[in-house]
Amino acid sequence: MNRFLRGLGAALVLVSGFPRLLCAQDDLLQQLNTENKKPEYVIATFKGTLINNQQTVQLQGKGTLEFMILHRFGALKDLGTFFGLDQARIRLGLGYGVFDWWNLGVGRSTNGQTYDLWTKFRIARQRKGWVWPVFSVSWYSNMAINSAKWQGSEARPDIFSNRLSFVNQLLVARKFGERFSLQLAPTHVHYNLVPTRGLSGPPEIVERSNNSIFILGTSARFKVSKRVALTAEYNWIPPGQVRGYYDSFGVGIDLETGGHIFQLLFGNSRDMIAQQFMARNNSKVWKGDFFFGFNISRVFSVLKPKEFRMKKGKGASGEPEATAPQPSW
Amino acid sequence: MKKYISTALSLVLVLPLALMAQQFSAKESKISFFSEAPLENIEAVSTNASRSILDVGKGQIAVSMPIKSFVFPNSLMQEHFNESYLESDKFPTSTFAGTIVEPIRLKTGERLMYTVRGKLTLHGVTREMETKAILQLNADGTYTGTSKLRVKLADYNIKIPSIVVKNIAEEIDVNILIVYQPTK
Repeated sequence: MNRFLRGLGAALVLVSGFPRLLCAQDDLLQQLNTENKKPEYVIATFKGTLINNQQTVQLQGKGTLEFMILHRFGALKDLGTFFGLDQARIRLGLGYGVFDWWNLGVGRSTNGQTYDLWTKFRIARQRKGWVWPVFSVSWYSNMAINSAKWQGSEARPDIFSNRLSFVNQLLVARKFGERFSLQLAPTHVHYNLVPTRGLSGPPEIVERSNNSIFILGTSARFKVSKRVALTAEYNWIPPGQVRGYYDSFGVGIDLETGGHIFQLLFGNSRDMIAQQFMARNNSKVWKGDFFFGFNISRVFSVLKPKEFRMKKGKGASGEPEATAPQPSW
Repeated sequence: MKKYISTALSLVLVLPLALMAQQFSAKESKISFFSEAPLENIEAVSTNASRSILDVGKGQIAVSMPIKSFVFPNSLMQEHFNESYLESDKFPTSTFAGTIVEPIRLKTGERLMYTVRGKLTLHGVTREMETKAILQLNADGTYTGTSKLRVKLADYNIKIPSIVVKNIAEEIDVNILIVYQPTK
């Protein structure tokens, strides 16, 4: 009896204690994994802040300065200018991440010697899976100032407000899986001054573009590999708003290396700010107006995250010894 | 005979409790890594994002860290790290589960080096590894653990494209600092 009870006791200890020891490591991990998790957000919906011409939902992180060099060449059919390479239009731009959710920037474009000031901020970030919000949403607005020599008339005086145009854009995107992203960009473009034709004729033939134009931009990105992606965009102008301007579209290839993104583009627009390529694209594709261009984006880290400030010389690499001096072993 | 029953019962009832009481969980943590390459030194830090349990009685340890919690000096680098290298959408956490080989019998204020053996899971690859760790029992009853790991990227199927081969080291130094408090 005595022995039996002792054996029973030992067995009980074994039964209660042993399995714990056997799979204790995995137990511990499981214990960790069952604790509540933070929401997971989708990253890198697009490679950069531009698809081709269109803005993307992407923003630069806090303290990051982006320098953009955009080139659009002349018509590819134009052999006299070596496929248009002699007639580049350029936009140089700077963008800065004031916060992770708010960027500001400036740019200067060849067409109209236009300066643009822009702001972009994040409204929502897509979460993993089908959990609300299922989209990433950003807002983009700009103001452009035409600084070219004024070619007006008495009816179109050279006053500052006549040189201004504006863009407001809601960017809604979703990353489907790892490779494919889709974006819708309902856009409002406003020109303070719009071109008219046939002013001297009878009123019914006066053709006038609207001051405010609404455009639906769509774009997509497909990742071919980790660092190469194909892109496409189409900017549809619902009819009845403009005369002599056409929908712009294009396709491109994104190439990403460390801190650079190169984008090679083919499209029917030579301009690089939304009021121009979306609402003032007068290229006629059916007459062979098709252009090559590229974007180069380079980022600089201006203000480092707080984890990397303060320290001089030494990195932030933990340096455990700093908090736990070398033991005597 | 009664004595035996009570001994057995007390063992059955108390032993698991005693073991439970020796569990500690991460109160603070700082995990960082450093890559030293000819063209560029890269470092990143994850602060207080990792979860960990240290079982002093059984000499066992588990760590779980979210990859996206690493902060880089350059936000684009951070995005590339997550998107192209660690693929953190697919492999969101890195885990370690292992045993501390020597028994832990530290006195307050004492600090000793231990051997840690276990499985490190990173980028979806699990590998056996062994490293040294320093453990200290602090006056307030917390433990401070520090360790250094050397992680060979190729071992964990993390590929470096040839274009940045001079920017990223093949082996990365990982520094770990975790402060443990008794699990409530």
